[in-house]
Amino acid sequence: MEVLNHLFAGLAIAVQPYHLLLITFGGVLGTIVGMLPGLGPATGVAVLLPITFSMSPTAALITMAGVYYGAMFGGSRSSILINTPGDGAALAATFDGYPMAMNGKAESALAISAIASFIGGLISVVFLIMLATPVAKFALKFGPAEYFLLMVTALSMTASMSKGNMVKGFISTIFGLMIATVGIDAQSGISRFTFGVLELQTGIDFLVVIIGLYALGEVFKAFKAIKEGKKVPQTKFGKIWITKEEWKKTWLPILRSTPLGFIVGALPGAGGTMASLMAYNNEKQLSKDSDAFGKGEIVGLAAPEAANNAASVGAFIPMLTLGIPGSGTTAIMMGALLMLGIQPGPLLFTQHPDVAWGLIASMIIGNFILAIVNIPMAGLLVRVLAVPPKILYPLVLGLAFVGTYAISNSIVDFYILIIFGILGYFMEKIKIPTAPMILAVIVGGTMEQSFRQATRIADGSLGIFVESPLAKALILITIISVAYPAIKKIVSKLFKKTGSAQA
Amino acid sequence: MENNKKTTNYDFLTGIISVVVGIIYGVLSYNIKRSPMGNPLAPSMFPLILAACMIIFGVILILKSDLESTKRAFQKSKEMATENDRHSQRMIAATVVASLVYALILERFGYVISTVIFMMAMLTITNGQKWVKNSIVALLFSGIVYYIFFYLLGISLPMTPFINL
Repeated sequence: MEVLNHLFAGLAIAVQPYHLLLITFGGVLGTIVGMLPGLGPATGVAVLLPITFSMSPTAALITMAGVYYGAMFGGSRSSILINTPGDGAALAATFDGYPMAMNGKAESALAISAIASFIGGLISVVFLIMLATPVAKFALKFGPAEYFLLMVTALSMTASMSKGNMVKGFISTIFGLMIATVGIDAQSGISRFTFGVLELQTGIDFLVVIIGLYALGEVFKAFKAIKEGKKVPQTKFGKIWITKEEWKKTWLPILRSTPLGFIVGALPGAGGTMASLMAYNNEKQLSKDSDAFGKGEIVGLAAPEAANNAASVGAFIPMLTLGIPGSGTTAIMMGALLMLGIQPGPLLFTQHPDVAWGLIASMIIGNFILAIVNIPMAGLLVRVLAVPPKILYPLVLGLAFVGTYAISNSIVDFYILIIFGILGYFMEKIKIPTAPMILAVIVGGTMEQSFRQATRIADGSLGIFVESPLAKALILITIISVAYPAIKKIVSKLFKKTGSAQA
Repeated sequence: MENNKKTTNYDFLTGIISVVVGIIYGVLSYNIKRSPMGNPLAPSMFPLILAACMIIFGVILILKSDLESTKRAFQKSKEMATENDRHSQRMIAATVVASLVYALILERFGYVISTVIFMMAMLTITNGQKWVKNSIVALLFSGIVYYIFFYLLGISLPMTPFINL
């Protein structure tokens, strides 16, 4: 019952008025950011970053977490009302959410998406509570070789799951690792790839890379939308709630989609978009009335909404317990923690239980606050959708610059920010995923250190990487994750062949 | 492979860029100063592995794609570009210029003045020449941000010369 003690201690931290205020602030801000087209949780957290520099680690983390799951609540608002997902994870909510609103059921749609988000989020926090300590304890057994392999596994999974193609995912990963090698080498004191620029000796700050890609790059991509005219959302609503029949239809899909979303979220690289799409397809297949999907079927809205909130909670598992962020948003949070002098990973739970458990407890409270914010106050919130993007985007840019300056007080970072903003735009053009690169930039430094520690322990032999059973298991997982798409292709081809042979 | 004729992508180009990046990075890695202690190649080891991987993945991408698709992609983007695309590209270029100017003037003019200039420029790019509205937004933004950072968060931003605000 040690876990319960920790949880209650965490709750005591989370209910302090200052923290309650931050949870609400983060959650509402996240809801708003999530609603605005083109801006997702990663952009929200990136822009918010500088504010957290003066906070305690606990306060910083609960605020950012609030933004993260708040965005999962908010993302569906614009999907339902204007058929424009606020972020990728809310894409599935357009399939049935928008038709529901067109059928005059906007109230039910807004209510069920918030209810599903709430249930999905809350149950996932329970999973997180049960899993966090065992995973962290297990991770303590990792030596440098296993830790290196774990990062290789996480990066390969991210690359192989990235949209588009796997090879480009790997190119993105390697490029990120290359960026991480810039600066003075921690072990020998030799500067690498600095080209004589003094400011580069401390390395390229990954926070600047992230703000560049997620704030500047996203705004660049969104410029197109300015001219494309604005859709006006419905702002007058009846009572935002669902009927008994609707609840009867949706409670089981919500409960089914939650664990699915949580697991997908915990896997590196998968995240909310994949979780919600999987939940949608899953329910469509299970449904007796699968033709109704896409025409305003309430189940088709409830399932993905539960799944993406569950995924946002699941994403905390690798970040908190292993020190390996599984998504862009958790990567930024990890960056903020490192900045505040806290190293996420297996030792976090023993060295800083207040931070870890304060965060977990805050998510329980946050889900209740957001349910209140998103159901009775939905009509008020959607007015934010009326803020013209042409005013909004300059504000995001202004915040990105001030945030960058606050990180290191250096103008050189401005140039790096601009370079990565442009890079983010072009990577989208030639369809190279950015997520693998971001994860690589963050874990790159630690990865190289573990690699060198391991080879030093083994006197330069690489055999240490295949020695322990754990290492072998990790290599196996890596191979499977890389080969999986190919295997799937071959299997489906075989099926097709036998199918056509029979016909 | 009939449908191959219609595919448009930049994979061939991306592959070439990856190989070039890999080679340049590899040469730079090899030329890193040798470590005075321990294995002299230790600081270059990991970068060299990365360079090799980058070249390998670049070559795989080249082999999987063909030059024609990339040519088609460029042609298509030229032909299909709408007025809107060109407009957004001009906006991006203008934003980059405004950002570079911002970087140049920030430490000379101080945060508040440079930011008002930058925000005015940005709002003119996105919102058009609505001077009154733009100036109000720009002034409010830089004033509020400066107040929050300097007084509430205790993060110092470049001060305005002469009046030390």
